[in-house]
Amino acid sequence: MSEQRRSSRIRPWAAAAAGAAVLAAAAGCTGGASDDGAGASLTYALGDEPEQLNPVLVDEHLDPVTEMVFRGLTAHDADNRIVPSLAESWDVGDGGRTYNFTLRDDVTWHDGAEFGADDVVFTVREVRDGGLPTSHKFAGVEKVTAPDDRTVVIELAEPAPALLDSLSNGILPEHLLADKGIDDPEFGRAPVGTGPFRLERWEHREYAELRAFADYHEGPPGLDEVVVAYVPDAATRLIRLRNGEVDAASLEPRQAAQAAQAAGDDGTRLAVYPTADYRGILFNMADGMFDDPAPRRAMNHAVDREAVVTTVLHGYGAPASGPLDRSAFHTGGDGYGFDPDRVESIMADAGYRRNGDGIWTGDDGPVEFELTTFAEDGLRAAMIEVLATQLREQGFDVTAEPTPRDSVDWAEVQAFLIGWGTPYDPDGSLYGPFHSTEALGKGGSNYGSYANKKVDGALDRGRRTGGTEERRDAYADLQRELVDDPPYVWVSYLDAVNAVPADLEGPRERTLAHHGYGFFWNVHDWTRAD
Amino acid sequence: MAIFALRRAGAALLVVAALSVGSFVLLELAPGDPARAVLEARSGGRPVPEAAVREQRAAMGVDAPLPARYASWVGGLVRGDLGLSYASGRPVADEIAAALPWTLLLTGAALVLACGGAIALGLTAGLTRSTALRRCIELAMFALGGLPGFVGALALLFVFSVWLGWLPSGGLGRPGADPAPGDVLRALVLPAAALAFGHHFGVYVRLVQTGVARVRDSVHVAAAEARGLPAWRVRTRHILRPGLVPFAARFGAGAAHLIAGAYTVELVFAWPGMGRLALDAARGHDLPVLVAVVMVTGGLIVLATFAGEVATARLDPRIHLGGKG
Repeated sequence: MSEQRRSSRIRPWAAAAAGAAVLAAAAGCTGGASDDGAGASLTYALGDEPEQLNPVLVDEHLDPVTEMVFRGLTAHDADNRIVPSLAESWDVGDGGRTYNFTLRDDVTWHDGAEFGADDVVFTVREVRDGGLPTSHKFAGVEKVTAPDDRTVVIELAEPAPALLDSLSNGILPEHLLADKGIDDPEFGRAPVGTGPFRLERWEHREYAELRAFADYHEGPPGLDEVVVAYVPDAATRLIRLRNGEVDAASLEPRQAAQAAQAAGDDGTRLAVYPTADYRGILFNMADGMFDDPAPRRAMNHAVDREAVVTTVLHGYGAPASGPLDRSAFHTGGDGYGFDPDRVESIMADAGYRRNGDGIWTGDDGPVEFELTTFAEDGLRAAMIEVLATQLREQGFDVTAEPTPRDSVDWAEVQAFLIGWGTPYDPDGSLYGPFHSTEALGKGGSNYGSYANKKVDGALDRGRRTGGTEERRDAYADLQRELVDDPPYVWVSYLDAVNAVPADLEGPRERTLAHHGYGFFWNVHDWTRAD
Repeated sequence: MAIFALRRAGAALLVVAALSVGSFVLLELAPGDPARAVLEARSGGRPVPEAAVREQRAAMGVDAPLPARYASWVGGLVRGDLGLSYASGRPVADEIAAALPWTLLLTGAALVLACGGAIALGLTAGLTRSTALRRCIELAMFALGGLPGFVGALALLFVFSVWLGWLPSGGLGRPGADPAPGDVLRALVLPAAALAFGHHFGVYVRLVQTGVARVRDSVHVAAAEARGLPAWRVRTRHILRPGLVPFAARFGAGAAHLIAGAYTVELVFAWPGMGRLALDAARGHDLPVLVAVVMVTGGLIVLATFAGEVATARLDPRIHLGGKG
């Protein structure tokens, strides 16, 4: 080991300078922004990245990329009413048991193949039989056939008005998936749809790049490119927006409040749309401690929803009075307001007295319970702190105790801040949470094991009757019953806040879904001025 | 040397095997259910019905007892098959292959920065006659030692990206564009600096400084100077080389620390490496990915430690690798 080190003269200060030079060289080597000048593009920062871009694998949680790549037989307009999409028309016969769809004849897949009735038959059949998260949507389909290439006939065992809604879910290409199966992971990485944008490339944990699909059946989109950048942290999304590293971003309430102050000056504006995503306190009815509906009714008057919206949501939300506030089936009613006098009268009439600590006490002792939620969800954790304080002030001894998601044992939970709600057909977000056959013990998503015969009856009628008027009656009955015997304390609906460039034209307000998804519903109409 | 390498390779195999058993058992004991995690991810975090979870468990084959799953995993590993990710359904090897180069680039850059910086500062502090300069460096390193890595990373982010706007806040160039080498380099500066100048950096500077200071006044240096050798030659051959031994001995472990530290820094700077892969996998109970990340990380650390030992032996002729014992 006698090799000579004939390096240049090393002096301590020179070596120190060399270290700094490495940094400086790296910083100085900027490499000009590579703008190919191809036309209007939009870069949007989003927190959640799906693992696969396949619409049949997600229930009620269609991310923007999947939303832009795929189209269903039907779609929703700005009022969330069903409108034609890949199907240009349909008629319903046999008392709501048979649907005849006529398909558009100008639709092509992103790979150039022609879209046809076989794709629809394939998708409906494979989803129904595939044991997928979306399979329940087509569980009632007895037969799906294609008499010719532009006609699809779906026969149901019994009427299911939610079917048209379910068919807004993306149709998948039979010619690519017939052999590999509808949940092929490779397809989930490189999906082929019929939507206005096709996936150019997806760098996992970085971004998804979408290019306008020139042959889109409603005409070429106004933007040439949409890039969805995945930035998990909400504060970082705001930084990247302000640095101009992205053009648009999905924001959480705290960042939205910060951005609202700067909006206008920094070339962005905020698009604040309502969502159907609500939060409510679920009571575990299996526990026995909540058998008496009086405290549940009283607690619905004991929470100051406006205060929750102002403090926790920074104003980006609205008080909730029930599960259908944002639905076409909402039947008003005075609902619940913050009313300490009502709390007093309801509790006193039901035979409760305040004990020495001011806590309502009945025959089974004081009303005291633990309120929990997913600790990972900062908004929910903040919300239960505020709610517990409000309830304590009205004489309910509530302790807020967030629990990590993996440690939540639904059978042991006393009360939980839960979230449901859909802007689309109400059945999907009502039947599971409130029907007694869907109780936790039966493997369903009625985690509070709520059981009310009138509610069951109303849900069954809403699910199975074909006529809109009868459904309206059914859901009106449901909403009345949920006021008399509340399974939850409904707290608030969330708003979806997106910062977009000031020169972006086209986004139209619509009641959005869970997490504010659905923002890109009319993306093919979007344009940018420059 | 060959015997040493062989013995080390054997030990590494044992370490890696122990790691695999350990991670399987720990992940089995951890609360949560991979099937539920997959379904909840697909419903955006809303709870999913128990019946659906049962079906998903069966479909994913996670119902088999632990030893059986471990055996089949080892069987796959022998054939070079790391299995499929629970979340994405893609081969785990592909996920690792996509993330590992970025982590290696980040760690490599940080290693160069940390090494160069520590030698430069340590030499300065060890050789300077100015007490004030030495004290200054010592104080700065002391302060740095008390700073958690992510705090330093955030501080860099706020100063250079948010406040001055000189460097991007994260990611690799503008999303959607193919990152040019310049973009990557620019994006690399902050995370590499955050990683290199984390709280271990002070220790390295100190090691170089004391090593050099101890040698500075020794007889062989005086003898070399007396022979009339040029000052640079004395410093590089007679002071720096023996003076670096304590630093080099520590640097293998240091590189391992850097690899581990990279995972936090990656999260702060949205760097698409193993750290984000690991976090996503941990959140989603993506066992196959998580085990693979642990194994690859363990392998890298074993390699880094080995490299450190070899470097020490080459610097210090008193150390013989592969001796008896």
